[in-house]
Amino acid sequence: MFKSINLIYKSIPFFLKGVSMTLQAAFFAMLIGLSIGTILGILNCKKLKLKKLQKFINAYVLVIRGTPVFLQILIAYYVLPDFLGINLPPFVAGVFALGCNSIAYVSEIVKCGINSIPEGQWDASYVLGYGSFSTLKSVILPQMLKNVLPAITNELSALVKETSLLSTIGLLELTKVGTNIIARELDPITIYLSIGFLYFLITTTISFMAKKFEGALQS
Amino acid sequence: MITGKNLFLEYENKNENKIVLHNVSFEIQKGYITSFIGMSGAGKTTLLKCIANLNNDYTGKILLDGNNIKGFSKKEKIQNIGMVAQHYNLFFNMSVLKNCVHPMMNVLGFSEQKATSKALKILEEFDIASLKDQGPTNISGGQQQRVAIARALCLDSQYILFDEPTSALDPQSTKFLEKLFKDLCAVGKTIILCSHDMSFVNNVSNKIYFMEKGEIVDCLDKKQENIVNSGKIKDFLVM
Repeated sequence: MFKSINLIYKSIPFFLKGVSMTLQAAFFAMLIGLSIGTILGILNCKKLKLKKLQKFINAYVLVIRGTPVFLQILIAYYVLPDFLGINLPPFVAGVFALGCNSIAYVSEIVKCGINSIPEGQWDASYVLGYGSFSTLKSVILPQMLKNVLPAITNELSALVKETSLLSTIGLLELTKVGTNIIARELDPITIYLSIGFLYFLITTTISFMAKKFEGALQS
Repeated sequence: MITGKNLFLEYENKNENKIVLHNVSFEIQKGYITSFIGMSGAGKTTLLKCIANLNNDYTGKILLDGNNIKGFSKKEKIQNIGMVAQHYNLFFNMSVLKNCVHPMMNVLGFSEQKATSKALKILEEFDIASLKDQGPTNISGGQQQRVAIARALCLDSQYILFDEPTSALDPQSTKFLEKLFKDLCAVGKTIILCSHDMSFVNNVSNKIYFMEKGEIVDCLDKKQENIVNSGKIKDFLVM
């Protein structure tokens, strides 16, 4: 018991570095996913009849959802540099892969959120003279945000957990730090439980913040 | 005056063409209360949506004082035609007051102060100023309808369309609506409605069109001599 506590204490600086890298990767992937995913979700809603663009978006979503995120990370790190002719560092390739993955899921959440708003809200806006952009900005998106917040929170939590897959391309995030410590100290139980607790702490914090935000929106 | 000329509208549904409006022509005089009645699926709501510019897929023309409404600018549209939908369609993310203020600021370019004072005046006339900070989901159906009418009046639309205005109202609110329609006409507004409430239609309307399977098959003008009256309206009214 004492040995385990001592090992955790000794590993804190490494854990902190790992947590920092995990949070950075998750943050930038979230940024890509939320910004581009929201735009694609809006463009893909049934009210904006952009058929050609929507076909392209749907094809993208189909491919991303139909392949494992692990494979996408490997492609971003090992295959993409061959096409681009440049070497991507693990962080850039990892964030790119997770971001692209998140775009697909966020865009579907946003699309469904917009489509779930009653048709009458659009009709009322048009009768009152709002254009499509004003309708989206002032009427549809504020209502949509409240509806999709739980699903977006799930996606963000999943994204944080998926950063652990970046250990396979050598990024020194939390899981990779953990496996390095295990290789040195040969105590997998303590280290795996510790990093599990840290992931739990991060995702719970995200859920807590989302709940607070949801409460603020309700009021 | 709003004139509809030879309106045709059909939808493709499972490779079948469904005719929704078939050679529909009508005239809506200024200051009149004009009603469209008929069985469910007769095309009444679709026709109202065409007049409100919510559905532009029809062929034929809808003219407002001789000008095709399809060519109206956004501002012209709302200053001429307003609509109160069956379920009122208040914006759920805005308070009662903001539902009235926001369109004036957003579309007519009013300052917030000017829009607020105009909205409050109309809400007071409707006896719902005390609800100004409530959300639409926290007030009753009758109150929601008053807010929706107030919102339409804030934009000073000359023609106000009502889709099934009494469908969710108690008898007292229906009486209020009857009086309101007559008061609005007295100040120069024109009311166009479609309804299944025959006693209401009979009490308020100056002119009644009867629709059947997308066609206008009868018309009763209470102010002038009957234009066409095959008796279908009278049969329907006593149902």
